[in-house]
Amino acid sequence: MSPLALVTAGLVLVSVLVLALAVAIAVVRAVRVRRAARARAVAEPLRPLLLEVAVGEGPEAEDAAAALAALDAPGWRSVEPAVLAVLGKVRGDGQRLLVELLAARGVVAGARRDLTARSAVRRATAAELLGAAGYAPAVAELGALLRDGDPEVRLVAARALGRAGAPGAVGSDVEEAPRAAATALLASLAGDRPAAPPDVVARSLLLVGTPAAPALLDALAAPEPLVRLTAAEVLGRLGTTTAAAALEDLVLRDPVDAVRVRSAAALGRLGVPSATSALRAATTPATASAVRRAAVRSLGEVGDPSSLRCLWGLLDDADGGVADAAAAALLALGAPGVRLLAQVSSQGASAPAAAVARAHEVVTCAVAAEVMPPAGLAEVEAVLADVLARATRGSVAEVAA
Amino acid sequence: MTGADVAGPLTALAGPLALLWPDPSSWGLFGHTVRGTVVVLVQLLAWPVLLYVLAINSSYLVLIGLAGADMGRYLRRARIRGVEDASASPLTQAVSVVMPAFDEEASVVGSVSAMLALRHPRHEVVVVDDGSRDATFALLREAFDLVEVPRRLTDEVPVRGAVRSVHVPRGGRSPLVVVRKDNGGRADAVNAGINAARHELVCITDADSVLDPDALLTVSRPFADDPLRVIATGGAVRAVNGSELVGGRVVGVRMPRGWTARFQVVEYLRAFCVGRSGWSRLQSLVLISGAFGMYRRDVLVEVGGLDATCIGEDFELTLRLHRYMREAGRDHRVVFVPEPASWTEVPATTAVLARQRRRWQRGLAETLWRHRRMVGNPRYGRIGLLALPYYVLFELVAPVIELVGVVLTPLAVGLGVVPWEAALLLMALCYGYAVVVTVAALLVEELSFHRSQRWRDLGRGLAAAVLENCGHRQLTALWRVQGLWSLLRGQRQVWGAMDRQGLAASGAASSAASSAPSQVRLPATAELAGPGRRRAGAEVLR
Repeated sequence: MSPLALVTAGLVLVSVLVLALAVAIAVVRAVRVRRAARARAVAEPLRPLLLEVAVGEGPEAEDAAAALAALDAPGWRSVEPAVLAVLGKVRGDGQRLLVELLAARGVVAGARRDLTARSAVRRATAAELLGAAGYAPAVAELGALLRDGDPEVRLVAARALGRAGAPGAVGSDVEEAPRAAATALLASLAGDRPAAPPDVVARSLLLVGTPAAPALLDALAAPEPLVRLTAAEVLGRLGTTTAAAALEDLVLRDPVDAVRVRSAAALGRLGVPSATSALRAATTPATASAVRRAAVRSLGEVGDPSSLRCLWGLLDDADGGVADAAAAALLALGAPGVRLLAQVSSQGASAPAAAVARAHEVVTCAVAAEVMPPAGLAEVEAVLADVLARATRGSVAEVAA
Repeated sequence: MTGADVAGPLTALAGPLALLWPDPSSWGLFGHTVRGTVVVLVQLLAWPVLLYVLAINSSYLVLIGLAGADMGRYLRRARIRGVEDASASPLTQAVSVVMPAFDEEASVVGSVSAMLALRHPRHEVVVVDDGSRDATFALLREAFDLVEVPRRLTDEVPVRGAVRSVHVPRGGRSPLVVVRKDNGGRADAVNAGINAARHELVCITDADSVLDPDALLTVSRPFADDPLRVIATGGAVRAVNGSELVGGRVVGVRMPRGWTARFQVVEYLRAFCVGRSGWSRLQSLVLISGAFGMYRRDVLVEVGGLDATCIGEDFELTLRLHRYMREAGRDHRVVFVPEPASWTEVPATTAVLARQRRRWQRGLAETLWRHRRMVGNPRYGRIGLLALPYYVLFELVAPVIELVGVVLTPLAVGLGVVPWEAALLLMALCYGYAVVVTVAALLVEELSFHRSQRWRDLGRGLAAAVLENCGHRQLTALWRVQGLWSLLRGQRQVWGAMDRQGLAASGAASSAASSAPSQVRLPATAELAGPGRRRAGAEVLR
């Protein structure tokens, strides 16, 4: 074959390829558009029925659910994506009716079967569906899925457990589900590497809510730092005040700084005044910087006046982060804290320069941005008036002398 | 891959068709006559160029195939991504969006409004006014009722231009911080923004970019899924010219009217939406676009932020992150998220495009030179052994070879070294191959995200895939070689000016101004070149 013939053949091949690809694009688009139009045409009349089921009120909802359950296969296929799309967004009777509808259509059973499918995407999709359905009877299977070989499947299972174990879940095992879900979720964090991302586990534990508290309290004594850390975080966010003593203990004595940080933050969220002394103790210079910062922030959140002196002493701390946090905490303490900041700010040369600058910055920022509450503003004005009066007295005395 | 260089090298083959095999007996002609020199050049370059062309095109097709697989994987997981959960979770990692702005009065208010309205449970917007000479700050102050506060920024990342003032909305109405500083360039402004950022993740974007509503949530997701290893994520960047905006969001993807912009639409699809997916699939992503990237703030601080002395600072940063983590022996990942996207306005005139491409190529060369120790070095894993050699071979050198082809072919034909029919056939073949690559990328887009819906625009996209080979590619190669030349001659770095017409402003402001969203269509190419809307170095995309 001559070079010219080779080139010509190549050119023909390339042209055919371009043409084939262009036709493929057109066909893909045409098929998609047609399918979408057909699905819309079938699903559109059924949309009011779905809406009725999702609202879940009265016999109309029951009738609508029965009508959807009785659909023929093509009708159901066109409406199923819409059902799945609203599944995780409704609660109460609407959720119950949707799950019953899915159970009647065999979707729930299919999803439970798919939890052991070979394809990881199918297992994860099934877990996602059962989670979105808030299907309590699947908690044990979802818990087992936390030991799946695929990290994505474990992640989805952890997310699904939060919904299936939540108090609003549907199904026969509702009583047992939250506790089982919480135990499985916490167990997933044990071991060398967590089975699922800790923030996903924490979010699911938050969804499970108060029923998870006993398991979380036990977890504060777990040997794995990640378990203690997550339990502390969730207990703080759940507002479980009975955890305060155990959290104080962790702030003071846990060998892992990250656990101490989260425990300190949790105490701040709980806002229990009795935690003040433990938090104050955690601000000493011998403690790790991150722990000190968290403890200082939490002192501001707890808002106990007994922390005023401690925070004042930290305004010129060598660790800028701790000092900034102390200034912000004093501001968060309200009127007494603002008064102290305003006083330090107006002391000039008689106070450490760093403390004066920091106090001045935080007060003026809050005033300028108009985020200072009226009580705080009144304190600032009072201090300024006092400073002015003293200055005036001083000038008068000078003139008199 | 920029994709502008798929075909060019093959044109060099047009000459040597009849004399593919080197004939040393004729090499004595070199330098004697022009014809003799061309004959020798054609003989010497024929085989290397042929192999180069085969390799570069095949590599692009492999990348497109990998991207197709990656996008398929991504789409199959659409229902299990958990974006809904993340949008409501108090534990979702907070994000500081850093937007450097220089003379952005045309679009800044709309952009900032749109950024503040993005779906995310905890995000703040940090705008850094990099010494603007226009009304950028005045407009921001008026729109968001800003007040100056005596807040000191940390000095964790070095900043060249002095910070003048910090402003926040009165009463803390929105999570916005505006930092005013002396002009120091885009990278310097971003560094100031990193210092002002209070959250653990930093999203770097441009003041004229339009993000899809879920962009922050989706691009921050890999950090939550793999918190120990993921240090940076990059989002797709698409060309917005011609598209329909409502309330600062892209609601209808359209092809722009001008061909310069249309060529870039297909280029962006090929390079950003397909090419980078391929690299991400190979776990060798070395470039996160400056228009839309997210980073762990602590790691940014550790590496000292962006390098303000480098013209390709986005590429340099990604490379430096890889290098730093590798040298510290820390396992890490840089992930590309193909959807949703950041929409950016591409140059609509060849003059602006030329400046942009010169700058990109120069930045690429500079960065590769700085990190030359990594190239081919097994210590840096796939980055050193695969991605960087590829960038040197096919991104740095490609325009030079393309230009050689573009110059040599007509010379060879004109001097009778090669018959014109053969040259034409070869050119058609190599550019045909280039079209195959582009149309394959369009097919991947159609199969995956198919953001463009109109048949008319599909036709225009296919036409652009063909017509970009008739002048645009050759010019692009010339501009890129000029960029390399300016570096070799040690010319001063110059940020090109970019004419803007304020696309985000019109879209976003429409929603801010009235409850009934008005529809905004971007003007055509001819209308884009408004005087006085200049910005320095915001669009460092490659």
